[in-house]
Order: sequence, then structure tokens, then C-alpha cells
Amino acid sequence: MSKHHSTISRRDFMKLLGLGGLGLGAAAVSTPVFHDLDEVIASPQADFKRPGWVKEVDKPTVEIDWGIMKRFNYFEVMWAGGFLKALGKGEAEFVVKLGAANRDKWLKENKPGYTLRDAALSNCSYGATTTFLGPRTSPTPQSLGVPRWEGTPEENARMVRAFLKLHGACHVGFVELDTNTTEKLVYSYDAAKTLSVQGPRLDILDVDEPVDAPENPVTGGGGYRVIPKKARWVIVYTLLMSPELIHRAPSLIAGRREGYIYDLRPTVQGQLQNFLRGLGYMGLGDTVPYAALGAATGFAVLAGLGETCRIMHTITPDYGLMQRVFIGALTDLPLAPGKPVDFGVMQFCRTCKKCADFCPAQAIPHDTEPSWEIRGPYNSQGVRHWRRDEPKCRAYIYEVGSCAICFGVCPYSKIHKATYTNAWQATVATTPVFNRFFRRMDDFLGYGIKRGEDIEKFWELDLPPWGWY
Amino acid sequence: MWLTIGLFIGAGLLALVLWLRSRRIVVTWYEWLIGVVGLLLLLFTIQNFAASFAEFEPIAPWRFLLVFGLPAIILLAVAWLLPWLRHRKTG
Repeated sequence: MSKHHSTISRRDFMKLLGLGGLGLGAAAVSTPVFHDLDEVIASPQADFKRPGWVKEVDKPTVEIDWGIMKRFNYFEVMWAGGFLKALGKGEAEFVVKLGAANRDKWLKENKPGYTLRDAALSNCSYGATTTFLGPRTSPTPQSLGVPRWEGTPEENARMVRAFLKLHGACHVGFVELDTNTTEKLVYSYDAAKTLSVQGPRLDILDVDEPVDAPENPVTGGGGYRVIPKKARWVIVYTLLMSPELIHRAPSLIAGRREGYIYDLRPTVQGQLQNFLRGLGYMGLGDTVPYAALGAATGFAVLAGLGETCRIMHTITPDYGLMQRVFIGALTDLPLAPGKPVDFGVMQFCRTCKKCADFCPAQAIPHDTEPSWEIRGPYNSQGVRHWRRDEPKCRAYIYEVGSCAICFGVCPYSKIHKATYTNAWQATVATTPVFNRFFRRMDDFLGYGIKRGEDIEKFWELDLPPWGWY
Repeated sequence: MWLTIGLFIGAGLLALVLWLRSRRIVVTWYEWLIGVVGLLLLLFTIQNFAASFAEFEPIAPWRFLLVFGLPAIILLAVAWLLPWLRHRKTG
């Protein structure tokens, strides 16, 4: 053996080569190959994948008393008639005018987040319309001379999930309606197209066909809609919002986070309704791009898409608050319902309170424990929750053009490239002992929203398509 | 990428073991443990440092270096120092 440099034996060298080859071979066989849509439906891609620390549970982590819950009138929400009702005409008009004056002033001052190009971004919405009965432009099986699609609830669930994910959805879940429980999450009154008008009454009746009969065809207000009792299944899904928009609140740039999703949503809903029609089933949807028809967050929690949280939205394990939740359709296609999940969110929210600390309007409560009490007619009874001061929240949104700072500062709203994020969320899902520590770490690591000139750096980013990572 | 990193680390560890054997340097089980923990912490630090830039976070990368990188360096230094001092003492 040479005295001048160390050598490796032939045996050890061959060992190294063998280990390397084993690794490369394992990587090669793990790549999937599809030949048709049936294989896609049968593949793991149609599964509902979740991180390993997410547990399915029998009851949701938010307490629900179905006995006192009543179906909710959408007109009470701040975006419909609730704001005017809470503040009164004079003050509501003042807030709206103040908001308009602020945006005009900041536009002329070139304030970051409110510049001309930010305003153009905010004002570019041009969404398709959504309808209760759907576009009804796809051929039915009857018109094609074939029987309608028949599959098991599990097959149907995988099929609908695969369909929606193809069309842009991230998480897809299903809830079965029960008269005494989950049916109460369907609103008593739907939204009108003109939100400031009371929408149609939603009747759930034992009939064969749905009916869409608003009194005023222009505003879409008044009148009624009939949901057949046999439309027992709710399809609920999420569309991701770009983290680069969310983390720039409050600003017009941040406001586009839901704007572009509300533009996409009508297209996805229409496609889903047409797809269901093509299979021979009904798909009853929303009539506004936002979430009306029913409590989307409630359905999302029961379907297992995520948990609810201090700000009453849905936190998913992989995207936190960085998505919008929508009811896709109410349908008579049998679907295997999901189960609620527990990954420590409601428990973490008890300690964290970061959204409450950062809310400029102080509209989010700091109470450690959620409560059964409601703040006003804009809240639904029967859920033990933290109740936002909705009028304060909405007034601040008017004042600054767009907010949702709470979405951006939430520790769960992370892209998950850094393994630290998975590590702390897995720990929190297992034990609440370190919750306070992780809240403090989130602050120490500087996570939260962008400020000042960083807001305008949005325009220099090399974004992936849709701004989704 | 992680496969490649794993292969390099595996090769590096094998090379280290062979080198230690050739120099007759004895490493106790707890020194190996300290070294492995330090290495894992270092990998964790590097991954989070790089990923935080990819997430466009301006502060998190440097704080990761401080909170996880510094302890990693200390553990690796201890894992190196203990056997080296013992080897020097025994000649």
C-alpha cells in the first residue's frame, strides 16, 4: 500500500457503487405512468393526500350543537345587508366614502400597494356568471341514448375529486346532508346577484326537480329556490390564493388574492355543474362568486379539508389560510363523505392569537376559549367559536381597500418549502406543550406580512403560474 | 436531490470510518451520536436557510443560521474535538 495517500479497498468501492445503484433504481420505479382517465381515477392522485400528522376524527375539533343551530340568512353577512344594518345608513355611507377617498389619495401619492398598477390589478375582475341550476350546456346521457353513470359512492368521490383537481381545485371533500344536522348548514336564504337585496328563500323539499325562481330577474332578489331532498351530497373544494398576494395585506395587491379566485370560481362551478349533468345528475350551485348557498367553512370542516380557527375560516394542513373554500354543488350523485380532521389547530389558536394581536381594527377576540355566544345576527348559533366583530372588520376593509392581515400573519400560512414548517406543525398536531414556543419562534423568524417597499416588489417576482407554489 | 445528498453523505461517512480505522482513532458511541445529531442539525439548517430564500422571506434565513446552525457547528466541533484530544493524549 502507498505511504503517500490513503486507498480504498476494491471491496469497499464495490459496496459504494452498489448502494448508489440501488438508490437510482428505487427512484426510477417510483415514477407513475397513466394510459387513460380510468387509471387516473384509480390512481393515488385521486386520493385525498394529507401529511402524516393529520388524524381523522369522528367529531370536528369545533364544538357544534345541532339542536340550537338554525339555517342562516345570507343577507345578514357584512357583504350583503349586514353592514348597513349594523352601522346604520349614515355611518355606513361615511365609511364607504372614506375608503374611496383614501384610495384616491394614496393613488395620487403613489403609496406602495395603492399605485396605479396596483389599482389596475384590483379593478381587472371580469368573472363568468354563476347560476343555481348551472349552464346546462352539456349533453345529458338521455340525449346521448345511454343510461346515466352509476358508480359506488367511493368511485364517485374519486371521480369528482380527480375532475375538480384537473380544473384547478386543491382540496376536494364531500358531506352528506342530514335533516337534523348538516342540512342546517345550507342557508335559509341565498344571496341575490345584487348583494344589497334580500336573496331568494332556499326550500329543501321532497320533489324531483330543482326550481330557481327569484322574484326580480335583474337583482336576483326575492322569490325562492327549491333544492330537492334527494340532492343529499355537498361537494366542497378549495382554490389556492397566492402567498405573494396574501402576505402584502393591507393593500390593493393583497385584495387581488380573492379577486382572481372569485373570477376563477364561476368557471370551475359551471364546469362541475355541466360535468354532473353529463353524468345524469343535478348540480346546484352558488349564484355569486363568493360563498353563499351554505356555510362553506362548516362543510369544509366536516368533509375533513381542514379545521376552523380563530378567524372562523378554514386552515388546511398544507396551505394554512391561503385558500378560498367553496361549495361546488349540491348533487344527487352519491358520494362517500369525508371525516373531520384534527391536526392541533383549534388548540394552537387558543395560545397563538397572532391574528388578534396584528388586527389593526382589533376585530378578532383575544379570548383563550371559544364561546357559544354570538355577537349579532351576522353570526350563526350553535357553534362554539371565536366571533369576530364583523362590522369593525368590514369597516376597516372599506377604509383601506382590502385587508386580511390575519390570513398573512397566521403561522399556518406557509408555503412549506422549509422543513421547519412541517416539523413544528407535526409537533403541534401531537402535543400542545410547545405551542407558545412555536408562536414566539414564528415572530422571531420574522414571518408575517411585507411592509413598505417590499409590497411593490411583488411586480419584480418571478411567479409560478397562478402565483401558486 | 436528496438522493444525491444522501449518497454523498453516505460516501463521506464511509470514507471517514475508513480514515479513522487507518489512523486507529477510536470514537465512542456517544461521540458518534453527537456527530450525527450535529450533522442532522446542519442539514436542517442548510435546508431551511435555502428554502426560506425560495419563500422570499428576508429575515428567516439568518435567524435559522443563528438558532439551528450555531448549535450544529458546536455539536460537530465537540464530536470532532473529543476523539482528537483523546487520540493526542494516548499518542
